[in-house]
Amino acid sequence: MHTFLLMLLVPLAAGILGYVVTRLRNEFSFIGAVVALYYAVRVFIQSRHGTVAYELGQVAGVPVALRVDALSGFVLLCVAAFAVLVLLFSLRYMRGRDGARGFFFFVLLGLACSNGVLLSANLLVMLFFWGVLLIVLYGLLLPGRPGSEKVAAKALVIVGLSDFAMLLGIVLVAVQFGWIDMAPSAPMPLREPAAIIGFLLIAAGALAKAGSMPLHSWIPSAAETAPAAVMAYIPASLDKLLGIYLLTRLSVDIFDISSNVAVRNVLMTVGALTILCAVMMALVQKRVMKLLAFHSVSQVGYMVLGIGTGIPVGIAGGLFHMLNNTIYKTGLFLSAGSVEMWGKTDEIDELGGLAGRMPVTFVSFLVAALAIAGVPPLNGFVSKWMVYQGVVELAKEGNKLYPLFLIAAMLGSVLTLASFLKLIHSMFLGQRPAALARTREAGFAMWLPPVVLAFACILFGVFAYEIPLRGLIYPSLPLLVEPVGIWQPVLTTLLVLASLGIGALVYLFGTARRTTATRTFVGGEMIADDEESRVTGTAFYTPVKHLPILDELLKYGERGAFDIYNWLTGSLRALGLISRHVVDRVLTALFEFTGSMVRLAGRGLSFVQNGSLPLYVGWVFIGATIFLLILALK
Amino acid sequence: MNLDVNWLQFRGGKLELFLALVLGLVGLAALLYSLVKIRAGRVAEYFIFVVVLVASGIGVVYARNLIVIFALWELAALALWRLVAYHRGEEELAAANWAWLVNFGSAALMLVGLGQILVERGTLSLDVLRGQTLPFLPATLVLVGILAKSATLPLYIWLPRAYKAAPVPVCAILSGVAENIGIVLFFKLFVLTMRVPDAFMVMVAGLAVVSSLVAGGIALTAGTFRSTLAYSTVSQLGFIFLGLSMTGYYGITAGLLYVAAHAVAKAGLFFTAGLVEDSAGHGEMDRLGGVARSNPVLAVAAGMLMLSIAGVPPFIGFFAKLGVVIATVRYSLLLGVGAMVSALFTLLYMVRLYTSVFAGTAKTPEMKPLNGFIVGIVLVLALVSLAAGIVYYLPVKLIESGMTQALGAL
Repeated sequence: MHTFLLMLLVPLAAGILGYVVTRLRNEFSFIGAVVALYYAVRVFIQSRHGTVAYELGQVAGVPVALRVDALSGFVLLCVAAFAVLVLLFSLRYMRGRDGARGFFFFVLLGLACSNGVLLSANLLVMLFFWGVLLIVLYGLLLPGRPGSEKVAAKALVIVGLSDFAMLLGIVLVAVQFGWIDMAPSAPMPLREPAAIIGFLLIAAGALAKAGSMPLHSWIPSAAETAPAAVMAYIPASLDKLLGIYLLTRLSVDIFDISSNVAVRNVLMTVGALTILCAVMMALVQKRVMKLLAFHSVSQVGYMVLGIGTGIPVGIAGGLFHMLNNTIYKTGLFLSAGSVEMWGKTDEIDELGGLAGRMPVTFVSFLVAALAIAGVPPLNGFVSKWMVYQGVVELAKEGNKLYPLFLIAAMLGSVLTLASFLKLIHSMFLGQRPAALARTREAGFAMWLPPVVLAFACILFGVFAYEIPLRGLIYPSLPLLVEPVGIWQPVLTTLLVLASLGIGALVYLFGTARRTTATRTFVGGEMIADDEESRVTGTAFYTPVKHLPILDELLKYGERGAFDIYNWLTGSLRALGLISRHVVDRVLTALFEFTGSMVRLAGRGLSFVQNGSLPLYVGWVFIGATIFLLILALK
Repeated sequence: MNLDVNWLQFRGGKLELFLALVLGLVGLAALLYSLVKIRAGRVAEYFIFVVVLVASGIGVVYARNLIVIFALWELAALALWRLVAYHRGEEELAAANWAWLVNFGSAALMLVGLGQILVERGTLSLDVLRGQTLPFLPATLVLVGILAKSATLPLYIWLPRAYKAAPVPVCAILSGVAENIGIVLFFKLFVLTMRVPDAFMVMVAGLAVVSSLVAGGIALTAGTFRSTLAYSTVSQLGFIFLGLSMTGYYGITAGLLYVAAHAVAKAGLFFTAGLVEDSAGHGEMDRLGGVARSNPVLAVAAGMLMLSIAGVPPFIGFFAKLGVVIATVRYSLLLGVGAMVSALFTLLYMVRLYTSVFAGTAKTPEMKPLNGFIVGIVLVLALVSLAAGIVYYLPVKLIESGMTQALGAL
């Protein structure tokens, strides 16, 4: 059987087997994912030497074909790798949890469908696999804490809305320009209205998948009910990879985004707003998972901003940021999952001082947090740097808006760092609450994936050009990316290491260690060192909440006033109520009126139908007379 | 008058075979359900009329003369009248009378249209009428009858009441067979046989979209399992009319696929509604919940059927909906947007239905155990929807070769 078919069928078969043979679920699932990874590596290597295609035939005039090229080969590899890591983590994490059986099935179904999306040779074939992911999303979100069924419905409706928009866009483009190949010989310029509308509709689907505003609102809600493994798998890895993959395909291969300034500005505005709004919301969160969820929304903004520039270095930066974000965000969700599992809570208020108890988790979380905040020399810095460069390049084209985008991106980065300082302090440093006294490090299967990911953060940052950019990103794009600025990560790393060394020396031999510790006191009176006096980090950024205008906006945001789901369901429900109480009522009344008219006529006629012979004879005479008159007049 | 044509002829190609298979499958499933559930009361009358209804549906599929079709049409209405009133309560009788009166009145107008065709063309044989032009007025008169039978705005009004009153298998036959009789006539007369003015088809398409939107909206605000399904049927019939009124390759293929996808899935969902009602004693969505826990197989099967109707791959409903959108967008983007909004309604009320009936926790304390045999029927229907979606090229190929058969001979 062809490798492409195996990439679809192996995870599917493993998922079904794991679902049926419950006793061997872990084995089947994990082996299935590993085999899928093996095939992904093989296909990736093949894709380096050129495009590989596999035709399945033609149905209803639509060519059904699978194909892999450099870009899809790269994303295929990422998807399979993250699936393996998440599954490894979940073997222990999901044990005994509600819905574990379905979890493994849907993870593997998701893997199979993602492979399908990436292997599809045209948009219509892709639409099929893309749609099945809707079921995966619902299936993964359905079990969980109380209220999860509402969250799953919300996710289904929002993503379903974007899927329908995408379907319409794909059909529109296909009807106008023929069945759209994923990588035609030359991209189509965005000039005709049909092309522009089609592009925007399909991009809406891609953006919703990636979790960009305004179609993001299910992600923070899901963080409240779904297990961490689900968050790490769907919004953090799979959806980002697929959404940005499609956006890249759309902007570079299928259409030429650089040909339309207005569309680029729209995309960049969406990106910039997503960065800022989501990070603001993240600042004021009280739960680890929800905070991370808002960051995973915020980070999409950088990718969209980068691709929206239409400048080669910006697009490459966006794509690279997709890879980086997936690495550190999955790592963050997984380590936060460990903390939540062993600490039994993800309320920031109830955590603290876990660095000593969970050192491995702490270090991997720290590295990933610094990476997401864009601290050099980690990977997040390099891709953000490339995105900034793309935005700055816009100046050469005379784009007046670029300073705004640049400010938004940089401010977003600062606020991200700020919010992770709060998080690291509240989770791992500070005082440890009594409830966490017996917390211990997660097992091997649970700390290995975050450690691998943290290692990747460092590797892809320090050797950014040597490994990811030259090996994965640049070959995936049909663009000539100019070498980036004067940023030299290896040198920087050495400098950072040197400064860390100097810092250590200062710490060891300086006065820093000679601090005096004293018990807490207020107004000269000692306070008992108990839970009451524990300082938590939740309120770090409370002042943000009290800024004028912003405080009102945040308040409304927390209540869901900007949630597109509420708007959507509200307006559709309103339409429904109008239909029910106006259209339906009026029609019923109309029919009832007709009925009573008929009844009235019948009652009237019953007077002439009284059984007396003379009357009937009279009627016959009258009728005959009229008949004869008509005949005579003719 | 053309006397060479044998007016009492039943004949058909692969398209007719496809439609008859769909109607037959739904009829069979409903009969199996009835065998288990309809055990007391007017059993003989019930089964006679069920068979008459299904048979007249299949008769309409194969008939080659409009007058024969009309006779079967009224026979179906008669059977429907008795079946809806099966329980013979006050409300059931009223609902049955409504159904009969709306159908009969509209059929009378249709008869006027048919009479006009007969007067102008001298025949009602579909074989002779082929390729001839049908003016706007008689076409509209015939359409009135079709809209009443196939429950489309503004004549859907009898349908929700009938669904509320009728026994569950009759509901399945209603949405899977009886309402498709109108679709079949529309398809045979306006799409395959006669040429109608473009304005007429545009009118039908517009009406279909509006009907679909209105009914989708009502379904979203419905209070019971059955009434959601009832209005959903109206909404989905709009999609079928939309596809068929676009004619052409995609319109016909998608329309017929949609008939199949909807009939199978809706029948299964009505059975589910029946099971849940039997088990909980009522069908109010506010007071249901947690069926997924007590009966996961039923939840999975019903979920699959809902996804098929909502047009989510890999179920057959996806391909049907996709085809309708392709056919529609070819003609007008605006109608396509309307169809997509209606699809969104469908997704929304299906999610709402699933969430309130299957997800969450049980709100009715004493749920009786479900009938395993009927759960099995629902599961089979769900698997048919799934399998048809995975090998979607088989039905598509069947319809394709049927179309060359029917239109190639033109």
